[in-house]
Amino acid sequence: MNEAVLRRGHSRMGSETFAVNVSLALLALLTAGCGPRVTRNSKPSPGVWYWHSPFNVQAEHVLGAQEVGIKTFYVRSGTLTFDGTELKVGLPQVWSAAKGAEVWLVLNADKGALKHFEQADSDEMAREILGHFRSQKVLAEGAGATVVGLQLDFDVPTRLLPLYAKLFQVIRKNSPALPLSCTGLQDWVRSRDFSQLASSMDWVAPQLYEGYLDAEPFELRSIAGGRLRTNVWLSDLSRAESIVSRLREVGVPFAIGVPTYNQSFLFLPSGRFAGVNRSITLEEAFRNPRLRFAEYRQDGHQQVVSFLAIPGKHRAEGDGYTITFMSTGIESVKAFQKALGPSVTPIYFSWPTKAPEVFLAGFRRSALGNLKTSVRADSNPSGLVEGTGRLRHNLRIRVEQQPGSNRMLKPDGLILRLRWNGIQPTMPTSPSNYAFTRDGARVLPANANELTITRSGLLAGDSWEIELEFEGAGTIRIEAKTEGLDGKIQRHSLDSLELS
Amino acid sequence: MAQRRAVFILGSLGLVALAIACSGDLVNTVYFNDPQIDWGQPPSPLVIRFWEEREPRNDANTDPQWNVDEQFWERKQQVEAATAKYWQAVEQKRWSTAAAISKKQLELTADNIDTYQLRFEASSSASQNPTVSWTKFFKAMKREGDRPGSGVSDLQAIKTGPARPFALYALGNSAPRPELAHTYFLEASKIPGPRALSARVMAARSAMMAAYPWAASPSAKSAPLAVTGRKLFAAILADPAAKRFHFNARNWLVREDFANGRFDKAAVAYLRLTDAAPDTAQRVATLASFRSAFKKLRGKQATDFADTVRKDSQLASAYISFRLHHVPYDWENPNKPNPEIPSLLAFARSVEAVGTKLTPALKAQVAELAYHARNYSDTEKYLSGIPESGSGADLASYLRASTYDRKGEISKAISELAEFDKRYPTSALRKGAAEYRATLKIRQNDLSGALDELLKLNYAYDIAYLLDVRMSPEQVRDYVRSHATHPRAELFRISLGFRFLRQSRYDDSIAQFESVPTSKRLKLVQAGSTYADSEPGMPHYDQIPDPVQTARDLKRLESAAGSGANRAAAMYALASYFYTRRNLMLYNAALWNGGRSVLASLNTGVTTPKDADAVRAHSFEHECLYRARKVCLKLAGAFPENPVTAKALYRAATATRRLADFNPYWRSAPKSVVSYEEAASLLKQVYTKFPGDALAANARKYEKVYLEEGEEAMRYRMFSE
Repeated sequence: MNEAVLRRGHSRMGSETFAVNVSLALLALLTAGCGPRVTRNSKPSPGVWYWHSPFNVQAEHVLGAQEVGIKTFYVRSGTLTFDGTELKVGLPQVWSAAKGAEVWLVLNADKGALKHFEQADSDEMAREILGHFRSQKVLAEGAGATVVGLQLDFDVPTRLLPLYAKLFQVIRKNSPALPLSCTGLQDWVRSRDFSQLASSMDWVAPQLYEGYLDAEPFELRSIAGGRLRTNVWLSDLSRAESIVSRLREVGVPFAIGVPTYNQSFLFLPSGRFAGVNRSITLEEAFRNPRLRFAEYRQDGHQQVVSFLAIPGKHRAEGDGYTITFMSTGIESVKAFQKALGPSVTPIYFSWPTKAPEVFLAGFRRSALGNLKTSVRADSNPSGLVEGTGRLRHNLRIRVEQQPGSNRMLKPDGLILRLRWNGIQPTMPTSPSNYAFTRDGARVLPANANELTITRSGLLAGDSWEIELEFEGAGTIRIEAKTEGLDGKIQRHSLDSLELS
Repeated sequence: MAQRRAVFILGSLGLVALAIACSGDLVNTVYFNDPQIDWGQPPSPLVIRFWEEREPRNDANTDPQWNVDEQFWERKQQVEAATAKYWQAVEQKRWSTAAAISKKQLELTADNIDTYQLRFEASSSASQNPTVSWTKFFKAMKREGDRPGSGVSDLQAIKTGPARPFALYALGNSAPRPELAHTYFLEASKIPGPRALSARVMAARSAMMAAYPWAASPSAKSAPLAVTGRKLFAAILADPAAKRFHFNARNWLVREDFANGRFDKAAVAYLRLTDAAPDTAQRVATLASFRSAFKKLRGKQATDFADTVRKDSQLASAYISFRLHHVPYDWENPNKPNPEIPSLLAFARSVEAVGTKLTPALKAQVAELAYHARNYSDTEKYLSGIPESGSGADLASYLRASTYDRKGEISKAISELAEFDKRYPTSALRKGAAEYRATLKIRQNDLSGALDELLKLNYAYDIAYLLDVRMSPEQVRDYVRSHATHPRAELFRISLGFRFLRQSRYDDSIAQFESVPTSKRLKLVQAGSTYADSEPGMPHYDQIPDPVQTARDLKRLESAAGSGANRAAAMYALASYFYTRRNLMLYNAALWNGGRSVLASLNTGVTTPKDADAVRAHSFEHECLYRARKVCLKLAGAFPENPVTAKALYRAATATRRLADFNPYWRSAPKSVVSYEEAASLLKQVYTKFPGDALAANARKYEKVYLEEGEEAMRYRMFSE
């Protein structure tokens, strides 16, 4: 491809354009004759977008996919990009294994390509796209896939929809038997040019997510004290309903892109949106001593978990920030189907696993269903030998989280309570989450007969170790309890120890 | 890609960081030994890791069993291979061959020696008296080894003959209960022959095991077997031929006191045995037994134990050693004063108070306690009169040096330790003394003397740090001259060559490099190799060149950049040379071997502000991206209107951007020097000063990208642990 691709094809007719048309005709012949003949299938099929490379789907994966209602894999086969002089397809998919997989080849476009889309020649683009489709189809079928059609995933500006429609028309003209579809932005659906676009292909698949992640809600003070003040949606069901209603009005066959993914955001201490968080995962947030669990909420089909950064040991960077994790898992799929009707064909953003295995996997495991506590005392009689008369005990309490119920834990909902008599703690200072008390009143450790320690989460398989120093002879009782978001309190194991 | 590249270039620096992360603090170094602050504190004499004891600062001559020697795995393979040959010889009834094989195995390994000894004795006996029963015995033994229990009936069927005691012994080993094992061993011990003594010891042990089984602690279960066990061990103790089992017998006999609740007696007996242990493993086991008994001391038993210990200097010494070295106090902060010291010092004084004569070893220990208590006058008081040889003399000498040091008499401290190795060739403190000497010399600014010590210690990071960073090129040159015949003289010359190269002293540099034969030089500097991952088709930014070629190229390019009509272009060519050859061009792989990242973790307890200055200067000299940036900015200053300045500013920006996320040193550099913002501001200069330049559009575009990356990097680091 050369500069011709940057000129609108309508602007002139010359030898260059003629050459392009001839090559497209040849390509159409090649495409039609490549492998089993492609037959038009105008209906969308439930599936999942597959963006990873290499494509490695074994026969058992195909069966597993069918069990959750996925018939088709919409596989990114390449990316249209602008290399400085021309639009080319790069980053081709690598087909490792695809036996038994029904596949649509999806070609997306990067920002550079979209920026130059308006100047590009539709014929040249179509030639490049069909050339790419042909070569990828051979490779995919070589790996065992059945290639059904071509989907374009170009997020072109709404004003360029007629041009996008023209691209489809050229592709259709040159490869009439090839089923075509495109992904779609939510704004397109209300455009008057949308019908023209939709009629140039077999069906469309608007993506019903990220439409509400505009600056608008985040420009507000969205966070206060680690908690969301306003509802912030990864996807908006009511908006989705209106889009589907519009699609039905237009009368175009369609599938919907269903959000099944997670997102995480960072908010400044002022509550303002600071950007996307890519530094830590949800599980890491639970483990990070600088982050204090602040909020869990279920907003309809979406879960939200927030953490507030507390001052760290070494540096103040990030103090007061809030990290918010949002997820739309299988609940999202169910909610969409309930709202939009069972006849709507879904295409999932990513694999729609069951809720506990999606975003909230780590969080649900942190629910305190099954705690196991153990205590070990290490006595040191050196004081008795060396004349001070002090008998010291080093107490190590270990709390382990076993796989258990999925009850959510409220902040500081893990409570460890120690009661003793006859012995005396010898800790000069204690962390802030330690409360030494006597008769319910906070006192110095030396005067206390009770200690309450709290914590917000403990993941399955993780353990929490507490080390305490006592002296003297007596008994100590250790009780663990958890308090769920529902306010219910659950008592766990109880240990009692004689220290003498 | 830029981010990925930034990760790759850390390849040369990252290996050691990874090693530190995986294995904890570095100990074989003084400059990077983070936990150690007071080198005057003598290192602990013994490491007992499975107790989770606090580690001493080195372990070179403390616990050799942890030091896997180079031939260990080779010998292990030989031993394992020999086992197959052994069974082959047995099958073919080549008894002498089988005996020779097991004898060789005994020489090669300390593992499974009981098995090899049994095989050796059995096959030797078979070679002297071959009978049918041997074949039966060995077949049963092999089966038993492959699947425990499967050979028992065949072993039981060997009722007579020379194989009988071996069969009984094997049956004892396989018995599920100690009572049953005892009957087999006892019967075997009554048949004269090579197995009789071993069988007698095992009969005694199994009797004691049955009499006092150990769960959480021993308990009394069978009085008759206790009597039998005691009698058998008494006989072993009385038998000079059984000397190698005496320590073990004495240890077993203490179990009776322990099991019967006489913890004070048990504790005293175990404590006394700690000094008599024939090897480290048995000393560790005895200390563990003592600890168990000690923890149970209460009331009168505690005071009785204390009285006994106070009256016996050997026991008092062993007790102080246990309390000082094997009772951890604060692992998180080893430099915090040990809170146990006041109590222990009071106890040590009470030993004197009851009239017990303090032996030199005990006096040295009390001096050590006083040193820990920071009571240096008492330290000196207890050290006075301790002879220069004999027990405790090494500790006393070490502490003398420590107290000199505390008084500011560093030269006297160095003299005290100067002949330490010669005077105390078997002392466990030798390595600690050498480290201490090195740190004292560092503090005296005798870096050459410190390097001598560190070379003897073979502390690679310290050697690299001194030669490549801390010493001035002149100091390195003097060292090269004074150590011309040193076995590592070529390494010193190469290192000096790099120092001169980084300072643009190209002729001096080439002279040093060329003083080493070319093939040796290329091998030493690891020319051609790369420490960083590199993608196919990408330029080799991270390949080590021949430094002689580098010096020649730089000399030529710098000369052109210094004067002439096309000076701006020549300066840009020089900057480009630095920029494109980049990360390993000035890297001394012969010294660092991929470990330069330790520079990020200098032990502030050893270093002074001069070290920080040295690291800063080294970083600026070493990083070619910084050198490229510097030349580009100089060009931009000298030729503000020259069209090449647009390229120079752009290159300065990309170099700055890469340095902004290059390694921990550069990430923490002042933002005015290296940061995403600085990189973006340089790009802004490109499109504002040279709006018509071909680079202006990209400069405008990437200015925004760099700022976004800067914010992203800040967010990424924000909550990392």
